[in-house]
Amino acid sequence: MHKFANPARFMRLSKIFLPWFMGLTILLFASGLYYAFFLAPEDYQMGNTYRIIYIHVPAAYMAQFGYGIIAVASAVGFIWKHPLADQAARATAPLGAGFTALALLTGSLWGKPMWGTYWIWDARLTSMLILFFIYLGYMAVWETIEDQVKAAKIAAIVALVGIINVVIIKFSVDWWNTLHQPATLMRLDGPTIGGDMLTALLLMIGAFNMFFITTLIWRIQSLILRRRVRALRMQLGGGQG
Amino acid sequence: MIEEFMQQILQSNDIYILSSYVAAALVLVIMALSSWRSKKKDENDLRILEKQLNNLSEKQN
Repeated sequence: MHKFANPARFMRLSKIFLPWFMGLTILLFASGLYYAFFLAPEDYQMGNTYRIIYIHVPAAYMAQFGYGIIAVASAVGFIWKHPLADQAARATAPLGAGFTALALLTGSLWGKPMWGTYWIWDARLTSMLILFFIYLGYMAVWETIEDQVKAAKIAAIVALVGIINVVIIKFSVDWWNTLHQPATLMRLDGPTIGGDMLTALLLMIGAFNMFFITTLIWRIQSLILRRRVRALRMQLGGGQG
Repeated sequence: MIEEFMQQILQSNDIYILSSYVAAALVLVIMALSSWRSKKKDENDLRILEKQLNNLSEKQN
């Protein structure tokens, strides 16, 4: 694992795989949207409004998945001091925050016609909002602390403590009485939707995943390049001075 | 015809679907563009610095 997590090797491999991930993203989005709008039938209770699910569920899933990546990468960076792990965690945060914002926004747009309100202080909604603030806090740590080694340590602690909230998000609909519907896909007894509705949802989740991987690679590449830029600037400064 | 279509959207729940998909498109485009541009900027910075370093080492030699 350590062999593949070398920054130089990452740059080389990512250049090879990036076009494939981009192509897959476009292909999955095109097929997912086609299924979502032309093949998936209308819901017998919610009518066409349920089609927000094809944006809302993948966004909420990626918001939590992104945080999972940050937590694992932070633990690896904290314990083994791996340089790429800290960079991966840092690069994931803005994407995770973006997906969380999108999940909150589409959730409230779905809530208005279904519940009659854009927002309610329900356990699932509130814990998602907290996740958004944790993402902002995590990013603020990296931006405000100049010493990158110290920033990585503090950010890792923030990330690891924040994982409790992801568990709360997952089980909030079971632990408390909420307006939010229970899990549709991740259930022990299998998904509660089927046919073209399920296919459309899985395709859109796949598309969001591929999009996430593509943009994450760009962000990690950017952070690796920035480290090189910083090192060269120091070298130049030393050479000239 | 467009007016009729807009009226239909505004009167039904379609406006919520439309807003969700527009918001998603905006968020995804912003995330993709900011990530790509940040990478391009850093690539450019690195290229300039490498050139400066080469010039400096040539001068010193």
